[in-house]
Amino acid sequence: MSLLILVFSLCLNTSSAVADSVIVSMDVEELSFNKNFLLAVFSMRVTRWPDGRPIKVFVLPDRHPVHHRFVKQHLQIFPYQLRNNWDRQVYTGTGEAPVQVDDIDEMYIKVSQTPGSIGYLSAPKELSLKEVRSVDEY
Amino acid sequence: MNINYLSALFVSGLSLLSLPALSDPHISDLSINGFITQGFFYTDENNIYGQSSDNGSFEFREAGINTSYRFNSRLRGAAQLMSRKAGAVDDGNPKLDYALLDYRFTDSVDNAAGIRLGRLKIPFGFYNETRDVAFTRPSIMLPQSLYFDQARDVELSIDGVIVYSYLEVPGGWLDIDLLYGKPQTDTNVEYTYLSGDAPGKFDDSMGYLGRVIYNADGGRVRLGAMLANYEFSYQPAKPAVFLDFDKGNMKLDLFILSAQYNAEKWTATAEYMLHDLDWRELGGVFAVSPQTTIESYYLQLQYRIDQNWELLLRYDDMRLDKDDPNGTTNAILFAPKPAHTFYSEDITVGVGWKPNPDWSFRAELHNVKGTAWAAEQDNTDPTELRKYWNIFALQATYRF
Repeated sequence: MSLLILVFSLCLNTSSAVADSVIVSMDVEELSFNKNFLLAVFSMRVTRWPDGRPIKVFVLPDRHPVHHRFVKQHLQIFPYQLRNNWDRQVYTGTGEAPVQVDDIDEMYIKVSQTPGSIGYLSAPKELSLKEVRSVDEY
Repeated sequence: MNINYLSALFVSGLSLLSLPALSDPHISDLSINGFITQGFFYTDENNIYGQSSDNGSFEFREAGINTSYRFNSRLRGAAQLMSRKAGAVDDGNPKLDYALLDYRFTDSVDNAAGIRLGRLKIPFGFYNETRDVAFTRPSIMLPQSLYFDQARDVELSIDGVIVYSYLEVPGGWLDIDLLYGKPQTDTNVEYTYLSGDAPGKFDDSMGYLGRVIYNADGGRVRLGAMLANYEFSYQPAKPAVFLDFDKGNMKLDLFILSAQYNAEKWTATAEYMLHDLDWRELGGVFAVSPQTTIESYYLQLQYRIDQNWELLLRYDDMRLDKDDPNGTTNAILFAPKPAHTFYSEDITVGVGWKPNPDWSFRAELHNVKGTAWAAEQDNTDPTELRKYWNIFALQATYRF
């Protein structure tokens, strides 16, 4: 049954996310990010978009395989470093941790519904990109 | 600046700024986090965190709860309440650990800079800011040579202002913190720097501090330097008592170099500290040794077996008088204190287990030579201190 739904939803999709894409909500104007910007955003060091609006960051749980892959391949650091940064900020009052979502589906829903948000999706999980936008990295 | 001032600051900040922010549910953001830690310590000689040498001590508990609120895209507020029971050093009464407003001037990847005002955690070395949060520690006890428990009130938080910046530079970025404020002054500060509960008290203090950390390759390499200068004004007891100190300023200068390498499986960390103490204006018993320099360093290796298990190996070294590393001269000057109360060498092995992200358990063994950081509050008679001792410690932490 779930396979049927998957096939059905695949047929409906006009576009799909490529391998571990960074996604943003539709209102975000940026079309591409460099690695330093991504690292600063997911480390919660930079908290505003260039237009001045706050950035809302969504991540999967620390032990989620997609989180691991995304952090290592796209941010080029290790998940424990990211966690250390967030903990240091949260327990000194100097910053926040990102909002954690349980799975890819929730990631998609939260990013699509939250203005100024950023997150990531994995390749095998094909989802409609009508409500979120995939951004290029350089 | 006191708590009343801080709360006034907060209330006025809230009333001025929260209304427009609250009306926009996407911009406003409230978060709450907390943790609770219980430790157990057993020592064969000497005491740590209670009477640990009898049948072990459970007198080590840490609990904290914090909240932060984003008023708008530039302004945040955050506060943490903290309770710590640690033998006779800390009584467990809740304290305002930090309470601050954070205003961000610029927020781009090449320079994110701002100012923080209120009660602030002191950016001292790699671990000081989160020294009471077990999840952020590499071990149950932080390397005591730099993060010695007795001086925690001086190192813990400060009422003042920090200007900070995350500045992009070739190869990485700099974390810059410049701080000015008023360090806390309580009886534990007297124990640390005046070797006991002095007749008078420190009635005023000021300090400034600068720390820069260079993060290269996404933080794989971290190199830090810190300089700090503190002054504490001593007010002798009234009416005057015999053997009191003179009215005057005690001066502290600190210099720390920090280095860390983060690989996937292991992390190597080293820190070196010089801590100059100047008691010249206080006279008294310190007239025989008016200026000294504490020298401390540690070398630490963490190895992550998998995402649940972690091992720790560390060597930690402290000399209360850099020019008298074995304490022989000081033992004569400050008789009957034995020479081993002027240094500590600690070899630590530990294991950590995180069955899930919310729970953390640790066990560790310390083989210690010397008693420089053995708290006088838990070891009231220095002549009973033993030079060689071992500590076995267990710790459980839950966070939410």
